[in-house]
Amino acid sequence: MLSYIFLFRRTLWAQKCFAAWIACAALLTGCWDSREIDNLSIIQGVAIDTDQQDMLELTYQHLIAQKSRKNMYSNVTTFDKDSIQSASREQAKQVSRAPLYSFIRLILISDQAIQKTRIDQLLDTFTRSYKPSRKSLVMIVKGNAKEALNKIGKHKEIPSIDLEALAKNSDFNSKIPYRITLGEMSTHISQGADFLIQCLESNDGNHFSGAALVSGKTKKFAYWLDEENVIGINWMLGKTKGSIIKAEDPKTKQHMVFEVEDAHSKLIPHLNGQDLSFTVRIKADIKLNENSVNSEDFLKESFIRTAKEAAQDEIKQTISKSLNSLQKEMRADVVGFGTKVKVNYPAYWDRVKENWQDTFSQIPIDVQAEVQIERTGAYTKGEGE
Amino acid sequence: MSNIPSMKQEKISTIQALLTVTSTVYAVGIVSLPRTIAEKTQTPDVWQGLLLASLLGVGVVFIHVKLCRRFPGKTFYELNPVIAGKFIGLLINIAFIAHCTMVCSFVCRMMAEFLKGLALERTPISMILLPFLLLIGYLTWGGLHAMVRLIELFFPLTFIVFLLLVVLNVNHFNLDNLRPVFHKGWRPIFESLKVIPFSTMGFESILILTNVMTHPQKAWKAGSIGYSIAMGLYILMVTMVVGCMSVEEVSRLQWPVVSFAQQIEFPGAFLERFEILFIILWTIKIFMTASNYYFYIVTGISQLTQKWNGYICYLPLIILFCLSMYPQNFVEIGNFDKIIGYFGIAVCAVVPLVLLVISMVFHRTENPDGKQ
Repeated sequence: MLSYIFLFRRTLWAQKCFAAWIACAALLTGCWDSREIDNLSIIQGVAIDTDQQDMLELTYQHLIAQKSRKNMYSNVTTFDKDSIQSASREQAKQVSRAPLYSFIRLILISDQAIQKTRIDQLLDTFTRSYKPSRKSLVMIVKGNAKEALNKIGKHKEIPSIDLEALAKNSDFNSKIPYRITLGEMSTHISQGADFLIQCLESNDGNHFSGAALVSGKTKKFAYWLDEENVIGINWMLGKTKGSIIKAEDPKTKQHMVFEVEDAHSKLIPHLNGQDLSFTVRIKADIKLNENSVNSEDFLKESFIRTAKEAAQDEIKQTISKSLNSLQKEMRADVVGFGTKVKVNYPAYWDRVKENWQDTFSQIPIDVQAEVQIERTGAYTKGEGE
Repeated sequence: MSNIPSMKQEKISTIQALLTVTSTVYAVGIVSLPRTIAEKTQTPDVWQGLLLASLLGVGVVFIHVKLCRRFPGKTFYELNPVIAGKFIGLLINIAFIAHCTMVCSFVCRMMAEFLKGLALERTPISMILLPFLLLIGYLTWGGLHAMVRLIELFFPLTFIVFLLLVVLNVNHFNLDNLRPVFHKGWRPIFESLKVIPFSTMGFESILILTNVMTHPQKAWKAGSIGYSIAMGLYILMVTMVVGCMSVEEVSRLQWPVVSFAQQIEFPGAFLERFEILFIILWTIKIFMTASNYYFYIVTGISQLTQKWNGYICYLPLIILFCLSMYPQNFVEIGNFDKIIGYFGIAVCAVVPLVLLVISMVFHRTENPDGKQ
């Protein structure tokens, strides 16, 4: 009996030790990274500016979790000569709680900052760390980004959340360029491609106005694009679903407004020997939303035909106009013509890729548009003759 | 009575063997594999090299099964001395154990680095490793059945999350990122074959598993299908990652698959950070891989010493721990990876082939009385 107890205790001693070891390891491991949620400061938005002395200004929008609608956020601005990360650490001087970067929704950059510093340099600390999501949106602000981050939205929301929702409105209006995320931007930068960023103006309330073009070579701001150009680019990217076409009836000079229900675009390269040319083919399904043309029978073939042609002409014109300024004025390939050449004629691409800008500005581009009018709404006729 | 005290009484079914092979293969390479391939090819020809490597891998599985089927009831550790003689057999066994040790420690280190980078920032790597290794030891103490049951339990979960990861990224997919195909000919593909070996490792589990199956005649089926599933997932993942993010971007990212998981836009705020699911899934997968390899180590040692006790089960963890802690930075981890890849090819592909040829030429098969 005694020997049995002795044996029992001896065998269990090692196991007990072992179990204690496992328990310690398992329980202690979490402690290094334990953080209390009420001691964290959630950062929702970031604004990057430069001031007169060429100092970088970094503004974080800290979320205040309270029930009152009055103090929903507080913006804290810090400075550094050229580094975002050290400006970010400056915040520790003012903010008591530890920052949580995982929920950054939006990064605003002022036009001053992006003209002076390369964009990949400005955003490096955000894309390098795994904490900010690659889904955060990026926008350029004409003027002061810090102020734009302080303008409460029309629905009295926190500015960064409001702006994030606003960015999705390119689904309704093709004058707004399609939103761009950190991840997509990082891809464009790696590829050395030119790309567009949504552009904000904040003089009275934030609103979109056109786009900013970032050159893939210099990685800096290159041009402002007005809304007309943005519409054409959106058509070529096939991102106009949900927006409208305003066309004019050629005979009566009165307007018809169509909503785009579905849109597809195709860039087709042709290479004959050394001559490169492109066809841009747009296919869209539209419906009539507003009509001021009098006394027409909507269901008649003739009306459908004229309306269709009017819409097609409108699309073609917009695209040609924006292609013209892209090719001749800005020499920037934001739609991805280069990719199409690379994919279809890789050998030719290897020859031209060094000075693709020059080649791109010379190639003839043919625009074709084909629309289908699918619905005309509740009326079948105009008002009485 | 059996020769390997640790595992002889237990038999596993065909589907269990299949899942074990699958989970041994696909885990650790996948996070960085798209980058390592894209770095080498510099063209969108990323999937062909992988396809080629997996076909070779299936060939190796075939060799393994052929070899094991010649010696029914014996594992790789036991049939070595029969074919190659006592001394060389012992050397081969030790080399195989060393290979499994290196893979296991590398896998654990990668897991720890991964968790440190993404979730547990301030936790020391040693403290992430320790409970992980102890759990592996504990699982192995439970024997083959415990391990296989765990794999059966978790495999569907990991599979679903893996597929979800791919499916939810479909809207980012752009075929232009994967074209032009074969633009630079075969050279980039052969370049990429230099870095693929480690990721395609895992076929060696069939060496151990064949003869503990209830129906060893189905080993070829289990091995090849299990291996093909894993490689299919690999190819799918690499193709999707490159298709969504382009070669240029992928070759810049440390762990392309993590960034890939980050860019998922899930409707509603419910799964705002999808990569958390991926991290959990990946840790489980690595646990399965590491425990499989650890089991092979323990089996080997218990066969060499003809014993089975707690020391054999838990002591190798110390070596594993030291080996995992040895590399100082990512460059060293990368070099370690390469060494393991080449050593593994030598031990797990070339050696069994030679053994098979020898056993066929000299007609060495299992005799009922165990004598040669």
